[in-house]
Amino acid sequence: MKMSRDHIILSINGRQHEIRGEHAFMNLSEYLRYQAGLAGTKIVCAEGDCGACSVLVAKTSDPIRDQPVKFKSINSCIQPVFNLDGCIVVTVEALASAKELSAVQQSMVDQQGAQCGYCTPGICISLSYLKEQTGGTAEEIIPSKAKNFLTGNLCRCTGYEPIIKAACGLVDVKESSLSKRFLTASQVSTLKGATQTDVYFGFNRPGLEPIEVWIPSSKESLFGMLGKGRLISGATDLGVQRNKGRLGESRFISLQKIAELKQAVVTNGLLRIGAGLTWDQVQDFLQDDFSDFADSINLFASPQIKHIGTLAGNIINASPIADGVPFLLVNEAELLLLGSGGKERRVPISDFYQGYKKIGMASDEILWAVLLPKNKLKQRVYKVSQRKDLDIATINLAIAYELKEGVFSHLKLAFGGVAETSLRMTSIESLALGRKPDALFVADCAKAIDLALRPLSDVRGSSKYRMLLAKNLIQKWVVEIDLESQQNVNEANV
Amino acid sequence: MKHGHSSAHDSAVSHVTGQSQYVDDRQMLKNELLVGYVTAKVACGKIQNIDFSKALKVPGVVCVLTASDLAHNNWGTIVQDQPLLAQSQVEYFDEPVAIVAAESEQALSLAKKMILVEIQALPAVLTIQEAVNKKMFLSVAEPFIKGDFNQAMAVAPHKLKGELSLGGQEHFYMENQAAVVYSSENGHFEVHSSTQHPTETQHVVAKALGIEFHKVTCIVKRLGGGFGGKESQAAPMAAMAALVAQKTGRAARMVLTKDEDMKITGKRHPFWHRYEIGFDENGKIQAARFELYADGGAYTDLSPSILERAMFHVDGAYYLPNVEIYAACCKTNTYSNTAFRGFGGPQGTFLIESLLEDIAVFLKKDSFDIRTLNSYQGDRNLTPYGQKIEQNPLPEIFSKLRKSSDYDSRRQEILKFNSKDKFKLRGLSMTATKFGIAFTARFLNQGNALVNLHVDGTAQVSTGAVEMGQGVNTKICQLVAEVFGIDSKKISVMTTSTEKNANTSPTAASSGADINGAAAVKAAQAIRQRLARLAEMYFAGQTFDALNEYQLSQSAENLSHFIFKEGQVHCTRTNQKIIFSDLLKKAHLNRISLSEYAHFKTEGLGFDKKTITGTPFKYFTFGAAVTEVEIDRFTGESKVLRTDILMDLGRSLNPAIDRGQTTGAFVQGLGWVLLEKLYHNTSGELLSHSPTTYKIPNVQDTPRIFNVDFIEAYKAEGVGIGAKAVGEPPFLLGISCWTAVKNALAGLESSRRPDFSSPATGEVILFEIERLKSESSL
Repeated sequence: MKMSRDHIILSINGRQHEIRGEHAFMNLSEYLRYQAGLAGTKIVCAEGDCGACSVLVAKTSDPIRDQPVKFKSINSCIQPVFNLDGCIVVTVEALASAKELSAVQQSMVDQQGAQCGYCTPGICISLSYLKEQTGGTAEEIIPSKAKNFLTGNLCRCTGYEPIIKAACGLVDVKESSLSKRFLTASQVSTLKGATQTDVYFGFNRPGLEPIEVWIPSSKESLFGMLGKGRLISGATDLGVQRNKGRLGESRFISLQKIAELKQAVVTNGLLRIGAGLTWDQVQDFLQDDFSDFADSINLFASPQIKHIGTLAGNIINASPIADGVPFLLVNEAELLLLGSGGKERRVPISDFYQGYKKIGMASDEILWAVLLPKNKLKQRVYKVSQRKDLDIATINLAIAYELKEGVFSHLKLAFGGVAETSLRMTSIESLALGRKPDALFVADCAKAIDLALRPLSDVRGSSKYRMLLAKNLIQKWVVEIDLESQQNVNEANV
Repeated sequence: MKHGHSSAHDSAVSHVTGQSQYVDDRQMLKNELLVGYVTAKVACGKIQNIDFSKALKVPGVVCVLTASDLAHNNWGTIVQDQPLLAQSQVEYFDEPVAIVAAESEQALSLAKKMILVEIQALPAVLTIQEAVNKKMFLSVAEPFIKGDFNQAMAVAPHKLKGELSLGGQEHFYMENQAAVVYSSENGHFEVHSSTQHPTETQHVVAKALGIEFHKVTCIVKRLGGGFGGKESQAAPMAAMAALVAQKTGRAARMVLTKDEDMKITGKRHPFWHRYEIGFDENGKIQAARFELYADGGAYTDLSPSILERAMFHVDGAYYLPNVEIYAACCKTNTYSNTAFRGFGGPQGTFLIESLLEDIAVFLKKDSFDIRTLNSYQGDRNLTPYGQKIEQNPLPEIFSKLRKSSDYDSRRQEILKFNSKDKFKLRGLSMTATKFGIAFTARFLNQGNALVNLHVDGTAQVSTGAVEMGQGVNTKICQLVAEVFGIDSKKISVMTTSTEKNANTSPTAASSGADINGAAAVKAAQAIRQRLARLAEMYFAGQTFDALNEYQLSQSAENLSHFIFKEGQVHCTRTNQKIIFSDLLKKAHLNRISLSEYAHFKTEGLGFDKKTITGTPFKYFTFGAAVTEVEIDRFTGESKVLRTDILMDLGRSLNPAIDRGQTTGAFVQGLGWVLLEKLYHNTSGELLSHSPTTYKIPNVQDTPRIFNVDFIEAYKAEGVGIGAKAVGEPPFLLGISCWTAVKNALAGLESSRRPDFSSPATGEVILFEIERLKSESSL
């Protein structure tokens, strides 16, 4: 191991903090509120769903080299401090300059965007992110686009209408950006230096095993530790599990500082998605080749989650309702696993899931990258949930298909939410080849669904509802194909 | 800044900078303890044993307390039937049974896991229907009977009979329940609580500790949302923290997580309605018989009053000539349901709006026409409870909204759309709100206020009102500014505290600004009267010196020619002026009080439930909404495309705040009827207890087009401020989202009428589409 440090270094609102022991193990929100005296950041749900805890974070270790270090919003309530070594954090308290409110804050005041005020700090952070991210032109800030920046913030008072107006009030506002104020070259280089060092810390707990945390700064350091603790990446799920008292482990390895995990490269038609790529980076990377799936990421993840959660986490979490897995199944992705010492292994994702939350990976292995072959297939991604945005699916469905002269020449189809793992529907795939997408095909699919699916009843929908949805989504897809072909005929006629 | 001015919320700047302080933002004292509780894991049962010996051995744990440690366990606003800690009988899943106090979060959570609660499970009653069958009622209301239902029904050409189930709703205030209690000298306690009812919290705490009321002060800076959920149910958390403070002599803090909060606190009452109505060929209702069953949960709480308000609002905005309204509140083994914006009113009005949609489907007529035909108008103005609707803007609202929402041409477009589109189905519907303003418990319609002027020309105002985002402090500030003719920036509305304002009513029933504002105005006017008298003497040339001072006469002479405006006092008769703060200095030097306390009560209220006579409401707030929804035919998912709202708010004090109340209430109503589903397992455990599983509306769920407008048809009478209450009335307009779904499903042209429950989740809608499709193909 390289030279090692026993504490976390991060900058909060322009002030450097050295954080040790149990404070480094806290969620950032708790550290801010109860240690740093910054109580503006609120904790409501402690599961990354409501956004009251939102803060801006700039990761100086982000190795996508041609891009400057930028602020992104995250949920501080599910983000352990130790995962942010070398980061620059800005909270609601620092948005205003000494003299005046920021444009975002002033617009919120002017539009009566705050009522009870409890969601307001998070809303101000999300709107500040909007402001950092866009040029602030009238085309960029229209209600439909502004809403996309606010899907991760719940408000129970306003009905959102005044908040959307506050966002639209940011058009053409001239103001020095937060990046200019807080991401100065010296600040960035100081903290970037911190990311080059390994960190190890531990502390004792009364009545429980001591906590130990490793934060390797290189691939080599990481390989020496595999198997010694729970790997933790974006923490968008583990952070929740911990808050709910469901995380039994006491040893953790943070992956936040491993540059190699951030690689996104295309070689010979194979997209290699590094396991450390966050959802927003995956979205950018897949936009050209898999736009249907890339677009759907906005529905299942808020900006705050997209900025830190990963596709790899979605895979390893092994939820039967994982949003990314059906898509990977139908596009026959492979997983690149590395063992201790760096031994490589490639596993088709269709072989990876062995039962409910059971995956084919040894305890000393790590998911290193997802390998996704480009293809020319048509893609469809469907998701049904209780609420359209930022909700766990009741059911999801991914389809990759090709029609030649009106009949299926290729079909891969996978459901989520209908069995103990995401489920490739090989029975439908094999019956489809050579057939037209017509009513008879829909009826045969329905029969295959009756035979293959045994969904549970739970808080997100009854078993009966899921069965009905599975069949209806197939039907919807076939009607869409029909409509598309009619449109093609019409266009041809024109 | 006065009447009609949209000045910013008085906490706007501290909100956006993160400086606003809530209970859990208070800095922790060195000796402060964190307080948590453990709960019963059955919905009904007998406690056999609680073993906390292991928990006490966890380092950092200070004490574990149970029911026997309380001087007085039972509390309740109407009936004191709810224990703070279950003593022997458990009545709902996750009912608290023991309190733990510890020095750290880790110690607290570890200790909670080490407390063993043995309970002998008993059969639980988990549904309204089961409770009705077993006649398990918390309260049964005196029925409202008007006209002759039986006779009218016998001759009615058309009849409908059926039932309607409405789900509950979690408040989902962003700030979870919280209290910090400091024990101070001589057995006094200072309670900081996130409560809408500081007085009740003070009383519950004092009784729980076995001390007199004067030893407890309850202080409330602000709430991060309340919506009724902190009217009665904030008190238990304050009492639990206070008990720890009493037993240990240390500061004690109890802050619930969202999961804990949702599991143990009550929610909007689910209702099960049974109905029979008769109507003529045009759709005019001739007879109606309603049975309203509310799910009160385990304990009484505010349920009898909520049930009554449902009965008072089951007519909605519509005239029912012959009607019988019966109602009962069921006891079930679930958390004790409580106040929630609308207080039963939405559940009542829901029924009539659903039936009007049904009549339209049945007669194949337009539902807006059916509503216009049935609405209160002219001499068709007598409610089922005998109060007349005197100042009625409904006809004006209906006709204006029909035009402004472009209803008729959109109706035609929707008919075309539904006949063609293979994927989507659209529906359009108007519903109305006629919300009665006043607490139906007369004694609550009182408020008091303390106004202190300072010699620099600024003022501090204290009332019993609790600021929870609704802008009551801003409105009170505007009212007092108007009395003194000074900028509202010169006035601070202070922290609510029972030591300044005692015996207050909860900030609820949309009445916060009405009664507290009126009391503040009354106090301010009394000071202004003294100041005008002083100005009169000063302008007349009287002086004061070491021997003589100004003596105010007690005459009631009208001093309206003294105008308080723009920081000056102006006598219009003599055209003399003095700067306001200069006059205040003279007043103080002459020993004239610059402070006043005033009490206000709403006059003319009184209702006898036994005889159904009197005036339960001071006035009504009216409004209507037209909503268009779109449904996915394959998945049942719905989306609100457009909503147009028109309300009569009288002489609005602050149109921007009222607009925010309206959009906020509407979207909350939208959530109630389309999205928010409380899901329990068969043991009665709530499984949707956080935003991952309980979905309140997100920014994307708001109407894509959202038009809100107000008219000023009638001022509010008798509360002195002219503006109409706005907190709850627009909540009922969310019902238009559900009736629009019903309207859309009628577009399937089944042989059966759409008949489904609320909330109309994707699952409910999809099954209903299936049912209607199968019926139509028969």
